[in-house]
Amino acid sequence: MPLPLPEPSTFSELTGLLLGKETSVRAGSPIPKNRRNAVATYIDKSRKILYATITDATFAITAGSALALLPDKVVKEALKAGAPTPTMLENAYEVLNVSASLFNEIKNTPIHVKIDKLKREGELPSAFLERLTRPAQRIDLVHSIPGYPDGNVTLLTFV
Amino acid sequence: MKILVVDDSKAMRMIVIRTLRQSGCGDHSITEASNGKEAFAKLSTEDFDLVLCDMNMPEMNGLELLSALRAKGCPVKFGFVTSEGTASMRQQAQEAGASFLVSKPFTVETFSAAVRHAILAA
Repeated sequence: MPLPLPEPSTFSELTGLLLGKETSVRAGSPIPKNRRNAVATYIDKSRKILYATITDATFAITAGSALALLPDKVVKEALKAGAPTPTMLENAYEVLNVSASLFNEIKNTPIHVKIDKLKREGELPSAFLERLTRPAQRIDLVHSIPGYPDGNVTLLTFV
Repeated sequence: MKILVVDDSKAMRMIVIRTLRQSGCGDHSITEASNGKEAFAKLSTEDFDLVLCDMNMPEMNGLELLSALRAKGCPVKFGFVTSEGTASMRQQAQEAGASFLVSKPFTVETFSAAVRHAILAA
């Protein structure tokens, strides 16, 4: 039986608290290969990757901007370019870092993970990209932050 | 009161400082450090009344910072602000000498309750 994934609503509860906005999630679709932007991996004590989150550029831009209240102009430019700035990506990392708590607080699942890395799609080895296509379990979500376009995020487990 | 905010994320330091202000602690003198090593250097040359520190950071993590401070006899009031909110992490933090642990993400109320309690006890 695969490791359980958090309830989708817990993800928006977490981002809502973190970003200070009424965020929400709804069921989405897998992010197409050419729209994946960043992948965070979560490791246990033995450095085994148990979970990962995949985001598209819009999630990285919107969550990364909302966290630090970045100016609208900067957000629009990044959305137009389809790429988060380094600051947005650093902030998105922090959102995904805090998201580790969702995996650690699943009932009756005594595991402990922490974020290892947040990598851009192009920085990942092809073997790992291949692994992303066959997780043990996945949840694809559309993530909404008021005032921003919807982003996409996938939570998955390999075990 | 002098407060040192330690987190490798600039955005999180900003959020912690903003929440300190929302908690009515905006009048205190606030200094920032981006990892445990930098915080240790600041604490070696300057007196602080409270340290608000992330757990997972590069260079020197929060637990290592707290252990190093206690090892050299520094009694500064120390609280963790971290995504590591499990019972075992809370126990580790307490055993290392932390006064409290606020898990991220936090509300102004939970943050305020922990910090105000520490400030009043300082």
